[in-house]
Amino acid sequence: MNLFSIIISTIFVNNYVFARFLGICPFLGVTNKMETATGMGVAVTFVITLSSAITWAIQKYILAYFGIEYLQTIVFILVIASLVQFVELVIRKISPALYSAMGVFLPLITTNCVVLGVAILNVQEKYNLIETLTNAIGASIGFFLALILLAGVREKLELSDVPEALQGFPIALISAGLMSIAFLGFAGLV
Amino acid sequence: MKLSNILKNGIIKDNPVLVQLVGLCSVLAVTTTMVNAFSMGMAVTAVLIGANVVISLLRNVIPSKIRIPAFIVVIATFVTIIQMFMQAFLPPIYEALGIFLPLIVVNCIILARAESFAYKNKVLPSVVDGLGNGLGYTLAVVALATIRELVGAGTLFAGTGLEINVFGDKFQPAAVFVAPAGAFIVLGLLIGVFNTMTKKKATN
Amino acid sequence: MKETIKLGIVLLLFTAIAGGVLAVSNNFTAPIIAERERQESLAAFYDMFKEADDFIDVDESLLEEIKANNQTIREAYEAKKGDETIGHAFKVVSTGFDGDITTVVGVNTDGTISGVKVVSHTETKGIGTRIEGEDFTSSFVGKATESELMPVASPSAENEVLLLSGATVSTKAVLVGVNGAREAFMNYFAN
Repeated sequence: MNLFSIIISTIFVNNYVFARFLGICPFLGVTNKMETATGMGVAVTFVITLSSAITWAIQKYILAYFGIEYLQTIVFILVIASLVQFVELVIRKISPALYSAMGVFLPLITTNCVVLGVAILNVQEKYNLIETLTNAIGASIGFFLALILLAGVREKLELSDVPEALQGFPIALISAGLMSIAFLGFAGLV
Repeated sequence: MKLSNILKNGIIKDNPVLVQLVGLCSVLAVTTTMVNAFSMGMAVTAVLIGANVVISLLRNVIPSKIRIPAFIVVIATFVTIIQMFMQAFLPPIYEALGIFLPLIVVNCIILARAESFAYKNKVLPSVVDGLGNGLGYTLAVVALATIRELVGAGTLFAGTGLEINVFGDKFQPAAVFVAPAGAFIVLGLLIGVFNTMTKKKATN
Repeated sequence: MKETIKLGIVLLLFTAIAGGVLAVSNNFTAPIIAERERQESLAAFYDMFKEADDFIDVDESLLEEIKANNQTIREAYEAKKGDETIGHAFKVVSTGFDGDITTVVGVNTDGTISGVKVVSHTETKGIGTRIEGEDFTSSFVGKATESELMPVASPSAENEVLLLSGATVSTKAVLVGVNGAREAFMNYFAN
């Protein structure tokens, strides 16, 4: 698969949120306001891209080399957890402004399954380094797009008359479902 | 707290899926058929109980500063063991659950139970807590899968050999229910119904 | 500083124990997984060679050589009826529309295909999944291995097999695998 089709595929056709169900927790958790959705989106993009590159190298030069692929899950999640800690430290030192914007989201990212999901899928699809990075960036943009779209809808929903039982999360899920139908329109594009 | 209360909290009052709304990724992904949902429920329950037991046993050994990475190591170990055994003994289910098996590691339910319960309680209550939350999860995913499979494919128990074609051959299944969109919508409605039911009970 | 080192050591110890536990569990399950996969291919092979009573692995160094020259081949076996070799069986992997397709292919000693079966794939439900179907796989049976197999809508010639309309990518992907097996047979096992 060429790089362009990887990008288009991960953003639209196989959007990690709408088609693969990865990253649903933050997707519902931070989309009640546009501002928080943007902060989360930026933080996730950063971590996914970095962790994809690192896990790719670890898989190729350590796990596959020594034939201990069965340690994949445990090693990848530890890498992601330490990376998140590290990024948090660095940002706090370098740019307090950036830290106040996305700092609160960083600890949440460890348990965001998009990050681990992308790392594992990179290995499963046997991507090389360039394809891995492309996939990571595509996945992040797709995630970002999903967050912003849902945040936009939910800001409007606050003002509308929703049946009592469906207020809050249920109506957000139903909106996400309708959005997912819209994304089905991209099927067959790649 | 009484053990039966711990169990009930996990299943109904603090149902991880329908009330706490955590770990929804796998909930949406594996509920295309009842069999997948039930297997995922069992895998999550096994990891929950295993991780709760080990963390509860080691709660005086794990320094609180590194408790989160330590929890993650314990959880990841159990997940990998389950993955290996499923691949060895239940290959069709292993294939069907795919990437969502390793992703149990980042299922927030398990880390949350480790942090808020097992790290502070004795072994027996921790086992019951793991069991309760696991069953709560299983119940929710099987309910969701039943609706999706029934409306989206017109079958029940597909893939078990006991497959029932509920509406007969003429039925045109509403495929959108097994598509991703259906997962979101049915889960939204299910949470709405559950909210209404539990609220009514509370006001009575 | 001293505390950091201590915490680091504790965590390292944890990870080491976890690694040990996983190594034990892997040692236990890995042979079962390998054996099960072998049994799965064997079951498909017995279907293709009705007369065979045993399948033996081809010489390991030969298999390595075949694999080095032929990217699709994963396993190769000789089908035996008593002492007589009645054909060769291959397990091949090719890239489909979405992920890998694993196919097993049987070739008779006279150079005709005895059977093709798709054992695992992740193709699109209802479209690509038709590669499992009898009408598709049976179109391979009896075809000659001398020249490359081609997909056409209504196959008739010695080198033509069924093209599933609407699932061109999946069809061609299976063909890549079968052609791989065909080449391996022609290069290493044909008399």
